[in-house]
Amino acid sequence: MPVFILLPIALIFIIFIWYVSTMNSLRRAEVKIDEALSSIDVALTKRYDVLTKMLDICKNYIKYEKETILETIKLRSGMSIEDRKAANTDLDQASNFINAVAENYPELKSSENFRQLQVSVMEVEEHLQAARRMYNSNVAYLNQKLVSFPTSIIAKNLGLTSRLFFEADVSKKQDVDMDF
Amino acid sequence: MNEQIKRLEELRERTVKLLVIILTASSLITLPFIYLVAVRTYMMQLGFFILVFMGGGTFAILGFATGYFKKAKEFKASYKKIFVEAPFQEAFDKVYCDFNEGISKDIISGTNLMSMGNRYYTNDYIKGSYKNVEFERADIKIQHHTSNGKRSRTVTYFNGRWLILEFNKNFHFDLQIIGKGFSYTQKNNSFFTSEKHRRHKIKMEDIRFNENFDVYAQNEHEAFYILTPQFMDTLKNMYNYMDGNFMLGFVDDKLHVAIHTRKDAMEPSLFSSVMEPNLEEVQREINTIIHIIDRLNLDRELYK
Repeated sequence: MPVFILLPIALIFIIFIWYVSTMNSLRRAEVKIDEALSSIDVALTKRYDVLTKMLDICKNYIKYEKETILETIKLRSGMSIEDRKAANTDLDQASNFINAVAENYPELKSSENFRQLQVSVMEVEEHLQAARRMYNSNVAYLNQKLVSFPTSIIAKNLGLTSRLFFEADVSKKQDVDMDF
Repeated sequence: MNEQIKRLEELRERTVKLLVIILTASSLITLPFIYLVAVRTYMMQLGFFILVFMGGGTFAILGFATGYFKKAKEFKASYKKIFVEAPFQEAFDKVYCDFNEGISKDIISGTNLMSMGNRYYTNDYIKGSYKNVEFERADIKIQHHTSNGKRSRTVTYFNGRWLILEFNKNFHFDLQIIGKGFSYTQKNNSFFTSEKHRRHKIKMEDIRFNENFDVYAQNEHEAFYILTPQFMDTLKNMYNYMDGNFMLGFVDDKLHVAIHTRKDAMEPSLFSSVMEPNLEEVQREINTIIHIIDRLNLDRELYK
């Protein structure tokens, strides 16, 4: 076969391979982001459960019902990133509140149940942090691809849009009002 | 201790003297033969064979007869007792040493972290604990030897120290972190590895870390869980300190650290005085273990 026919065929084949592999890598990035989001949801739910148990132990030391403290926290499926961030901030506040109570009641802080739950909270928080970092890392990868030429052309064809980062809330570091 | 070192120095001097005598005697016996048989007849190849077989044979016979090999072994054992075991005893708890033993091949191959070649050597086993974190270490050499009858070739895959430490976080999947200067690893990331055991190359969020290390994980979330930003900073510091010649593996609740030093760190030299020993390597080894446990907070029993 003559070269002037072979060359365009080879070129078309290379472009096709590149298109498919780029499309797959973008789809993979999307799947990874969804997986990370699901890990965030699992960690948020676990954190909510552990904090609920901690509030049960604290109930003799505080004047509020645990429902009052946790009422603003709404965890449901299909939450947006903003909803997740808000839920996480609320959980931070609940966690800070429990820690503040424990600081004021040494007998509570030294109880075995409370100590075990504190360990669980720390572990869950590390899992949450890991899921958040994994999500942000994959979002950064996808967002970079969306603005890089020529990948951006395929991304546009696939209807992909940039995703929001899940940033840690600065309010986590703030003190809570100690009105038990 | 000084008395022990003095005695060791005397033993070393006696051993070196014996070595010089044996070498001289072997030369005096072998060289005339080479001259008579090979040089005068211009058969240089034959001369080489006489040198190797007759010289080597004479050296071995004299070595056994004069007790040189026994003395050299005794020197080595005493040196390790004084300059390796004692500093380890001082730095760590529950220290157990067996310099003739090592970490078994099955344990290393069972991690699926290294290409295993067909030759495996191990010695200088030390076990201990620091801040209640148990560790074990040994010198390991892994080689691949091929021969086609005429030529043989030996490639060293790994020559250095292998550390196994208890890890304080529970994990369910394998994770492998390879420094860019470390070769001959087994990554288990090929298409032919079953999906359950396959490790995928992943990128962390730290660009410099990604430049220095390749990370292969069975589960991405767990990789991010273990590789916290603080952990990654520690590994970046270790990278500069060790020129990237190391690999970490998280397998079966243990942390494996393989450091390719290209030398046997604990072997003494007969030709250096023990009155001023070079303890840099042993101290470096001790510092590495302490550094890993301290910087990675392995003593935190928070998660167990």
